[in-house]
Parts: sequence; structure tokens; C-alpha cells
Amino acid sequence: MLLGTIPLWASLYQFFLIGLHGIKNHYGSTGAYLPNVAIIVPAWNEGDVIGNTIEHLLSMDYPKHALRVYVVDDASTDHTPEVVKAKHDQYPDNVFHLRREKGGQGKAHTLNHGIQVILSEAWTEAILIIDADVLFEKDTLRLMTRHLTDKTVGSVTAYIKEGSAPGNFISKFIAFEYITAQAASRRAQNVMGSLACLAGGAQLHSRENLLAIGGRIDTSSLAEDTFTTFKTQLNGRKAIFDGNAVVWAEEPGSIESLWKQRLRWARGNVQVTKAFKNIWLNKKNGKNLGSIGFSLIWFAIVLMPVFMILSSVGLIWLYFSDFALSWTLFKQFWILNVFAYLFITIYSLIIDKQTAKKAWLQGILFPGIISLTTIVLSCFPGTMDHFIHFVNGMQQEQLGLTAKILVLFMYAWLAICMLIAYLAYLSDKYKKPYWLSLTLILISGFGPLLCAITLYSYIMEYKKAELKWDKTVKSGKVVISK
Amino acid sequence: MGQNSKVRESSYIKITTQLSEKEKLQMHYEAVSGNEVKVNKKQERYLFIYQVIFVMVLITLAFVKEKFFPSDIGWVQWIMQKL
Repeated sequence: MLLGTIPLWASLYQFFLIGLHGIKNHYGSTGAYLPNVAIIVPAWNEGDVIGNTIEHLLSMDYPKHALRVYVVDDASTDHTPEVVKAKHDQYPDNVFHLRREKGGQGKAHTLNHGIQVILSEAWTEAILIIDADVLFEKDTLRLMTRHLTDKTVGSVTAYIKEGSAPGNFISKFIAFEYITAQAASRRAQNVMGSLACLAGGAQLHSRENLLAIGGRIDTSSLAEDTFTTFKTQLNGRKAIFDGNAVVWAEEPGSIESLWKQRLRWARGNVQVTKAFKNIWLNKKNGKNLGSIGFSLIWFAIVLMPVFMILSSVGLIWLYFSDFALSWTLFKQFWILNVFAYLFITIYSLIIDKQTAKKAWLQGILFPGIISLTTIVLSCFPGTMDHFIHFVNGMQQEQLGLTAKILVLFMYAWLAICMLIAYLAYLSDKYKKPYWLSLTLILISGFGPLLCAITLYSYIMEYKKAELKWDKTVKSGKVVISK
Repeated sequence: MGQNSKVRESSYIKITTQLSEKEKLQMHYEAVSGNEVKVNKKQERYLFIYQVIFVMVLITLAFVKEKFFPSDIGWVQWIMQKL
């Protein structure tokens, strides 16, 4: 039961650290540093978006002579080569087309093809790895390179914001989630001195750092960006998050495509946990990544479904053995939830007011309607007691049938919500009406959907399912909102 | 006096060096970067201030709520009794 509160404590710990970022941040060690930057854009059938991406990159507020864009074409079968070649003719000193004749091996292989070429040229001083469909704000690259003034910094990442236009209910959930998972928690990780992940769509490395970690990206897992992040820090260099450097990306607009994308991420996290098993809770091996705080945050995410299920199992077991105690613990657990919910939701909306304007409703509904109802009721424990006619010391046999069903349902909810979220995914996958999957997600919550995906990733890893790099389908309708 | 002024004028050498494009850019970006750092530091400090205010508001609301709708949770009652 107590294990079930670990994710809550971890979230609260992270969110309290954000305030300290106002005092302990890296801005004081930055300067106007404008190294020669080689931008690697991995592309597979990105003909519709790649031209726009190149134009955006070259229109950034950064000296043109210090900017080169290398599009690594992963054996595209559409018009990507033609678009990139036309851009090369237009900008012969800035745009280069690298073609892989055999593709489909995944992003890491594509990146390595580009990195090999780029590192062979002495010109490059820093390497920016991005996705083909992201849009950088004018000043983003400059805001990132400034941190490389400090030679102890190996990598810098930016804040990826959801920029689908016009976007839908699901993409707005992601917009809110990115405040908590990036703008908030990566600030906290800056304070801790240990970054969990450089965003795959915006990671800047110094040349020295890439060479120090072997001059290539890990190809053995689905989380190549997290591997790079860990290796950077374990090699003794800092990885920094700059929340003011903003990159816009189009995120999945359906539960099915979200499931595919997040399953890849979740499996990647499980692989990272196993691959770096010697660093957890071990500062000698893991440096700051081995600190208690970072391990707590990492496992709160990776093991969240386990904590939720254990919580439910613990409560149901107590229901039969000591009902009064189970009811008291249940109410205490949810009071902690009330505080965590209010603190995290409102503070997240404060951190990114621009996203808050479009995704405030998704922020409120993030835990789902049932959990939200329990959160509201938890503020009035007397009402809850009255509803089930609870008196101290009573046994479960003394409860009425309706109360028994209700109490057991509430106890089991932390596990059931993941099942409902899975049904929402199935509903979307098998093309049932949109309102059905949306209703199921509103009931279960978006957070439990992510937990269900993590749980599913354990099964996939246990079954040693094929490591597939499923490309997330994008429409190219991403805009920079200012 | 007049002679002295002439001597001063003639000994004065005006030194002007043309800055290269790269140097001009560097100077421009140094100025821009300095301002950006100031603004960013300020924004981060605001997050700290917002957090302090927000936590205080949250605690105050919890006390107001306990005043009118007291909880039966042991540790909550204990805190209320102590204050």
C-alpha cells in the first residue's frame, strides 16, 4: 500500500525542485558561443515536410557560415531525395544530402551514417540531432549553443512543445503532459545534476562529447536518445535542459499512434534500466544518475504500473483482514493525491502559460473522471464515511451490498483504470466510433493510459518481441505558436 | 598657447580598424546573449516566487477547508490542534 505512494512522493519531490531552478541553474555559465553546427536530419519518406524543415533551420537567428544541414535519407521511396537535392542547389554551402541505400534499420542507424560523415570533417564543432518534422524557433539553436561555452557540458536539449494545427483532444493531452514531463521535470533534473533524457528531436552535442561516447549512437535499443544521455553523464560531462529553447513538434493525434510511439519509449526505458543496472542507487558507478533522488524519479516512472497494482492489491487484502484500517489508509492516500494533483496541475499550468491556454481542460482531466471524483470527495472524508455508513472499528461484513461494491471498486480502481485505458486503445485500433475511445480515456484518464502502455512494454520485453521502429504518422501540420 | 594646441593636434593619431563581418556578428550576438540570459534568469526566479506563493495559498486553503469541513484523519486533526 505504501509503495503505491512512491510515484506521488517522486512527483512532489520533482515539482518542489523546480522552484530551486530559479537559484541553481546553468545560465550564469553561458556566453555568446556560436560554434560550427552540423544539423543531422534523419529522413524516411519526409518529402512533404523536409523542404519546410530545411527552410526553417536556415532561417534561424544563427550565422549562416556556421550552419550546415545534413539530411540523412534512409532509402526514402518518395520524393525526399529530389526535395533535398533542390535545396542543396539553392544553398550549396549549407545543405547536404546523404543517402543510405539500405534503410529501415531504425533512427539510430540513420543517425550514425550522418555522424560518421560529419565527424570525419574538422569543420564541425557541435552536432545537433533533430527529427525531420520539428520546427525550431528563431533563437532556439543559439539558446542551446550558449551552454557549450562551459566545457564541462557535453549535451544540451530543448523544450519540445506540441504544435499540431489545429490539434485535437488527444494532442492537447500530450501538450499538457509535455509541460510536466519536460518543462517541469527536466528543470528539476537540472537542479539534481542528472538528466533522464535528451529529447530525440532536439539534442545538441559538442564534438568532444560525441567522440568521447564512441562517436556513434547506441543501436541495440529503442531508446537511443536516453542511452546517449546516460553515456554523456557517465563520461563526466553535463547534460543540460534549456526550457527557454523551444522546438515545436507534431505529436500523435490518435490513441493508436500514441500507443505505438509510447510503447517504443517505454520499452526503451526498460532496456535502459537493465543496461545500466549497475548505476542505480550507486553514486560511485552512476555519479549523479546513481543518487537516491534520481533513482526514485526513474523507478517511479518505470515501475508506476507495479506501484498502482500493488496499491490496489494491498487495499483489497486489508479490506478483508482489517476494513477500518484499509478505509483510513485509503482516505489518507487520496488526501495526499489531492495535494499532489492541485500542486502539480496548477503549477504546470503556471510554468507554461501559453500551453495552459489551450490545454487547461486536459490538465484538469488528466487523472480521469473517476479519480477526479475521488479527489474531490477526499476533501470531505465525512461525506464519504456517511455514504457507506462508516463507523470506527467496523468490519466489512457490516457494510451494505452497495457500499461493499463501491468500496471494492474504489480500492481496485488504480488497477482497473489501466484496463479501461487499454480498452480505449483497442477501441481506437479497431476503428470503433471516436466518441467511444474518447469517453473511455476521459473515464480512465490520460496518465493511466501511459501506465497501461508501460505495463504492456514489460510484457513485450518479457516476450522478447521484435524491436520495431514504427514511424509515427505525421501530417506535417505543425506550427510555431508565439 | 596657440602653438601648444597645434602640437597637440599633430601628435594625435586617430586609430580606426575595420571589423570583419564575423567580429561584428560576434559583438551583436554577445549583446543579444547578455540580454537573453538576464531575461531567462528573471523568468526562472519568477517560477521560484510563484511556487512559494502557490504553496502558501494551497496551505491556507487547506486550513480554511479544515475549519469548516474538519477531516477525521488522525494526523490532519493533530496538525490542526497544534496550530
